Amino acid sequence: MKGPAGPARSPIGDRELETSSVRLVFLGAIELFQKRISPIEGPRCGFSPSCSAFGHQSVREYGPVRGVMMTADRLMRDSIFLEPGPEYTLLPNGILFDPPSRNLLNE
Amino acid sequence: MMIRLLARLLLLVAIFPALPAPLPAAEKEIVITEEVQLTLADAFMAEGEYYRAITEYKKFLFLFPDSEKADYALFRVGLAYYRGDEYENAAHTFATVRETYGRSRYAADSGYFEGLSLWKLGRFDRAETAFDGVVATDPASEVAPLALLGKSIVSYDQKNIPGCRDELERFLASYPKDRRADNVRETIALLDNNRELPRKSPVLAGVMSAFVPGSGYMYAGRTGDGIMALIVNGLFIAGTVAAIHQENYAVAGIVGGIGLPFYVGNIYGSANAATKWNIGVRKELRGKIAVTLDYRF
Repeated sequence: MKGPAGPARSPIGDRELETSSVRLVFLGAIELFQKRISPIEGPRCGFSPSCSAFGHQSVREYGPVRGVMMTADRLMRDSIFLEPGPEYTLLPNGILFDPPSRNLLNE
Repeated sequence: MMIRLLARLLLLVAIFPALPAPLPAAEKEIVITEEVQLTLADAFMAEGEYYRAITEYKKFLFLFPDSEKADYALFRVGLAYYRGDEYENAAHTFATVRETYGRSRYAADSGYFEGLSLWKLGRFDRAETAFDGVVATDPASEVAPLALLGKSIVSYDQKNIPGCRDELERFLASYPKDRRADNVRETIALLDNNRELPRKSPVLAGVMSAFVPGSGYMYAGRTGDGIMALIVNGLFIAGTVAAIHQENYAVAGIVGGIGLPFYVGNIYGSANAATKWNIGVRKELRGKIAVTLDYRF
């Protein structure tokens, strides 16, 4: 809506402190990839959010077991066979929108 | 020469009092009447400045609480929230209009928009109750037939196709001469042709991929993903088996350890692909229903 928005939220303040060590390992590995490896060749994922962002969000929100399964599935789908379909929303920049919330086995 | 100059000076002095005296600084009075305040609020609303429109409508309600147009102003507050995608506030405001101004001409509209807001919030049961309320309290209102159509699609969204059909039948029984009656008949025929929607079993897809990686994707119509899953998992499995044959158990452990998430992910993804296929089928029919009913909101 046009007009002043609600109170500004801190991106860090809303997050709960992560305590699960397994989750921390996976999140740390994904963050390392995002900061050190991914910038070498730049963004090239056909999806939005990118596979690493998808993995990070999945592990954070749905736990390491489900998060890793969802990420592995996403990595296999991000291939040369990637094409728009009813499963994905095509964004104006030509990238397919596929957030973790659409991959929860919920009908 | 001198005389002429004196004569001109005299003339100037003579006409000086006749010149209009300079006015004191003009003081414009701004009188805020009900009309002015509502016009301003409506102007903001028309421009899509919903936040400002809400402020002005609320100002109207503050300045003229006993106005005959208070129901209109409060209804427009709800409408501005609705158009601004603030459905929680919209539902609350429309409910207030209904409760405070039960006999107002905006009561039925408020009930209908309350139903729409609750629908957008995913509160299907409450949306149905709101739509039912409109039909029960003011069946002759313009929005009552729309409320029945809305309720039918809410039923469909709850995967209740017979319920959706029942509401459409109720529409035909209550409003047989409505201009949408033919569309409703067409929609009922569409639902009758799709009583049992085709389905892909997520469980079957997962089991298939557990035996032959990628086959579950193919079953769910994602052939490309299936081929990719088959290649990836085939390579990891072949690498692990080869390492075991060479008694290189460390390599087998590493390759198998990396491949395992992809194998499990292939099972999960196949079930997910079947789920998405089912969602796609239902969405497609929902789109057809909305188009056939010519129902927009």
